[in-house]
Amino acid sequence: MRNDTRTTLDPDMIDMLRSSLRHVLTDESTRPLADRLADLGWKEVVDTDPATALRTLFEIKGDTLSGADALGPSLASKYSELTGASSASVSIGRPGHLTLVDGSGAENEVSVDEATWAALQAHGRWLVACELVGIGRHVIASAVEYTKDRVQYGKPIGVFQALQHRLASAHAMVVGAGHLITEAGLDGDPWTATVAKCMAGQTAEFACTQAQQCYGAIGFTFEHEFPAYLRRTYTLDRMFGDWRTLEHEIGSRLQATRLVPRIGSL
Amino acid sequence: MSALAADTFATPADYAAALADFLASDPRAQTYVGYRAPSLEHAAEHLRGFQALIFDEGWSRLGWPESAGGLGGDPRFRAAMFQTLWDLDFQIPEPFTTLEILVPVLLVFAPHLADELLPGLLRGDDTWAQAFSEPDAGSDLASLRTRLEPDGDGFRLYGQKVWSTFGHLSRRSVLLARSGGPGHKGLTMVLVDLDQDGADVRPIRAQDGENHFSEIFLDGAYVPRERVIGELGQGWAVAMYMLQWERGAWGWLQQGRFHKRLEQMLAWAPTDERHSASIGHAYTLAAALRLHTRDTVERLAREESLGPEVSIDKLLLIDAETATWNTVREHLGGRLETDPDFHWLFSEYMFSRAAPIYGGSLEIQRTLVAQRVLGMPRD
Amino acid sequence: MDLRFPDEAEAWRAEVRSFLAANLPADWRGLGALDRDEAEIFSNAWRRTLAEHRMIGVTWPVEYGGRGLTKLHQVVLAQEFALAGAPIYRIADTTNIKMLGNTLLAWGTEEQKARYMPGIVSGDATWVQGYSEPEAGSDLAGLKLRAERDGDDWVLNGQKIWTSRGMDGTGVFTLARTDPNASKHRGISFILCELPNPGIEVRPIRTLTGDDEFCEVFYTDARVPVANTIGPIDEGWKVANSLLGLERGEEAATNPIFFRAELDRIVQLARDVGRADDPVIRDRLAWCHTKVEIMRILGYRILTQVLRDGRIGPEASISKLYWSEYHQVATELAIDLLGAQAMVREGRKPFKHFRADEPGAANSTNSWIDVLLMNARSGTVYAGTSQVQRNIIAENILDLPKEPRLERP
Ligand SMILES: Cc1cc2nc3c(=O)[nH]c(=O)nc-3n(C[C@H](O)[C@H](O)[C@H](O)COP(=O)(O)OP(=O)(O)OC[C@H]3O[C@@H](n4cnc5c(N)ncnc54)[C@H](O)[C@@H]3O)c2cc1C
Ligand SMILES: Cc1cc2nc3c(=O)[nH]c(=O)nc-3n(C[C@H](O)[C@H](O)[C@H](O)COP(=O)(O)OP(=O)(O)OC[C@H]3O[C@@H](n4cnc5c(N)ncnc54)[C@H](O)[C@@H]3O)c2cc1C
Repeated sequence: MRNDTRTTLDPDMIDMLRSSLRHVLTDESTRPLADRLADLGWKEVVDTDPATALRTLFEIKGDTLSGADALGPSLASKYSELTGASSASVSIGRPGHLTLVDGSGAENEVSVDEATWAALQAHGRWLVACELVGIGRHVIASAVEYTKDRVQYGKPIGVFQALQHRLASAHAMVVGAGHLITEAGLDGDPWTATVAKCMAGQTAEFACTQAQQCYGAIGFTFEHEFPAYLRRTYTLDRMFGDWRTLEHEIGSRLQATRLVPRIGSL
Repeated sequence: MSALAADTFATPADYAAALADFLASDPRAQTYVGYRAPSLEHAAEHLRGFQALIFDEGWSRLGWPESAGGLGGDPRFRAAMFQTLWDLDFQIPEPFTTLEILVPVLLVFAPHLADELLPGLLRGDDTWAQAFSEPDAGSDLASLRTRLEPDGDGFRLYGQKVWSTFGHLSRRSVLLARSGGPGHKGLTMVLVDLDQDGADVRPIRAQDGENHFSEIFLDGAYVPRERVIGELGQGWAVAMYMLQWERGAWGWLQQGRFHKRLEQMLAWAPTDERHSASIGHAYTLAAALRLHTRDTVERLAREESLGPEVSIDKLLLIDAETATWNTVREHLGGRLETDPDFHWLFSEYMFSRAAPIYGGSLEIQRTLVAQRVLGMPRD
Repeated sequence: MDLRFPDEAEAWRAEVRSFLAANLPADWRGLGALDRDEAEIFSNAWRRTLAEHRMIGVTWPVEYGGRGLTKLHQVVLAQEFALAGAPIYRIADTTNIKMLGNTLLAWGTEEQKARYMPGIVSGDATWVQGYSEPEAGSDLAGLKLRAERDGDDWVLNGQKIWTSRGMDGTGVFTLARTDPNASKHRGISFILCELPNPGIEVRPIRTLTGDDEFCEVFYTDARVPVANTIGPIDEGWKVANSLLGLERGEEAATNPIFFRAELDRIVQLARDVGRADDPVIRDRLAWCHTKVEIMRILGYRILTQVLRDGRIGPEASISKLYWSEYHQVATELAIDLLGAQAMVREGRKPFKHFRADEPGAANSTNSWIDVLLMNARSGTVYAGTSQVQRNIIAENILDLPKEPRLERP
């Protein structure tokens, strides 16, 4: 796990974290995610290294396609960190507007200043980017396995260069996006989060389309795990700006400032 | 002579800041800012002075071992130097790019040669080329045919090399030749002087009109025994070791260029919203390349050995390089191709089109990633 | 290539127009404007009207229900129908008419034509294509469905998969191995199996959009008369290939008409969501426009070739590759235009699972998401995957060497 070299958590701890998160995110329990995480000693992990903890949670959420609601509560923590106000879940509305949900499920729309709203949006972009990277990794790994088993013309289809090259390109993009989400978690800069979300969105979409082509017809069936990843990708990509919109937003800002930020230093 | 040493700086970032101060305040250095090369030969001549200056002041010696004339410290110092030079609009002297690829290999496989020759190379008194490819051995490098034949205490070379970057401007070349039978095992890496009778170097004009590379005809060029890099028959392993620098560290060097060129392009052309998406696309890919190759540089600094995953660096490089120069060309309108003031930039643009070829083609990298990293089956 | 149509084609155009004017409902806005059930009802009624007026299979000889016209007339008809937003036939007719009808005319005996053509023309019969097997997709010649001769019958055992609309089929045309000892591409026969048949079981497979679009078909000692073999016994590969060419080729000329109509919807969508002035959207729309124009010209070229040589060359692969890859980009643009709205499913789902949604379809999220997820994304897989098309282009058009160590027909 090369992306984890910039963390205060040691590698064994991260492995453990990954496997327990995988467990929590895929169990059938109907208890709220927050309670299930609490059983893990989640708070301690988050306090030690919030960037790695949250990134890992969302990556695994993407990988396992878990439907657990992690975004709302994570935004709520961020909101509380920024303003001191507490809520169970937060969702982001049009600029300047948030919806707060309290413990009983009651919703309350509030308006916030531009900076708070932008910080929350950036946080959301980062978390969703992490989930998209998790999806990208998963669909490539599964497609690789499929191409080893599926035989046509007397050989596993994975030997065909046309498929090898598709998955290799997608893999390189996933690695690149992986660095961006790691950095965005560390520098906490909204700009990095935006770039990470942009890269993650296009990466996950690209990875899905490459994987689907490798599957052939079976990739279009309801029972196969793949289509759900594709649908989730389209949905996540549209949250807080799809990748094409973000590319435009990024380019537009670069033109306006005529500055080209160097993300990450030696 | 300078008083710099590796422990002068706590971090590469401190070093970079000090170097930036030096470059901004030293009048000799200032004469090189914003240099636009009218031709590759002119650049080679002109920038030699700059190369000597930053060597004499110690800046370029950081990141190389003291035993070989460096000032100690790990490769991150070199990475920081490249970053600083790009950011402040200094053209990186071409010999540095070859150095970054060839010298790490010497440090491991022929330390005696590094000790003897690194200072001259770093200072720009000596320049080297890399001669691997042959007319019939490109991607399939292991099929190369140039022969290394014993002669007394040393060896003689017979055959032909091609595409050797800056071969005609180089005094020596690292060269891969066949000393034994067919296949990987029969290969040996040597360092050969090009300024001798048995070596005939002829420049090849590239598509931008510049002599980017050369053919080298070898008819008995002499190689003393101590100029063998590694062991006889170890040439393939040496070449593979080189790849982590050629594909990995090189990516870091290039991302500095891409960020700078994007910045300059924005300054040189008016805002055009229609270009925003392609600018954003290029920037995003350059940022991904930057972070990934930073990781690679750090791993190299920790002396980890990198395997087939360096092909990922090359794939990210190709994407970023292609996208960056596409957007530069689009944003500058026709000026890139037609404005003589942009000849230097156009030349860089044309070179960038070779990204999917040089250092192992796009197709080869994808195959390596698929088979060696992802574990897809081989036919 | 001459882009003008000859006089007799223009005369035919007038005839088609008056047919449409006389027979379409006055307020007709296209099949897409109806919900699925209404569309089904209309579609069936319209299909009967078409058959009565001999607007089905117009290129077929008069004695088999056609009009003996040329492919050019067929294209004129398709153009006029598209202009009016009228379906040229039922969805099931892709396999029914284009594939089986044409194959029967090319290979069938007089008895076979007499027996099967009337149902195909009237629409009482619905033939579906049962080629692919779990182990034989791209490598179709690897198929294993076994047909053993027992007197005047074939006895079939094995399994097919991905049979589109198998549940609606009154028959399935299939490829079976009739000589297990022959080489891979020999010993296959093209057999018509009427349904229901006690030995044949059809089970739906749900697609990713939740519809029962394709099926698995199981053969257990299913008896089918040997007389139902189309073309010579053991020569089914040849028969099927002549038909694959038709699947890929003829539509080269008609597809662009549907893609044009679809692009019009996307342009309208851009207006509806207020992004018609957005320079990036305009660029992307212009890109689509260019591609549709190229497809139109390419279609004419292939059509001209068919009219001249009476057959479709490997250029059909270019057309297949072109439209299938174009369609993914175009539908992604539509989804981008829907923006965050695309996350909420609403409106009518598309009525068919290939190519564009029907004319008149509202710009609903259900229409576009299904078209993207199912129709567009699968376009690079069915009817020969993009990889296979590229191999054909490389080898048969560019004359590049064959890929190493791959056996080919
Ligand atoms: C700007 C530039 C600078 C260079 N500098 C140097 C230098 O300093 N020293 C040096 O020794 N060489 C140098 N080279 C040469 C470079 O290493 C070769 O060009 C490269 O190895 C490819 O070899 P080739 O040009 O013979 O192409 P080929 O190997 O003939 O390849 C042609 C095409 O076939 C594809 N191909 C080949 N094999 C496969 C396969 N197995 N699967 C799929 N596709 C395949 C390739 O990807 C490529 O697209 C330089 C090249 C360039 C462009
Ligand atoms: C919507 C839909 C409708 C369909 N309707 C029908 C129908 O009505 N009747 C019917 O018989 N079939 C139907 N099919 C099946 C269709 O014909 C097959 O999906 C197609 O032949 C591919 O086979 P496969 O799905 O088994 O994929 P595979 O053949 O397993 O291919 C998987 C991947 O491997 C690649 N591959 C395979 N061989 C090579 C090679 N030599 N070189 C490079 N890449 C290669 C493919 O391109 C693909 O990317 C339908 C499919 C879809 C998606």
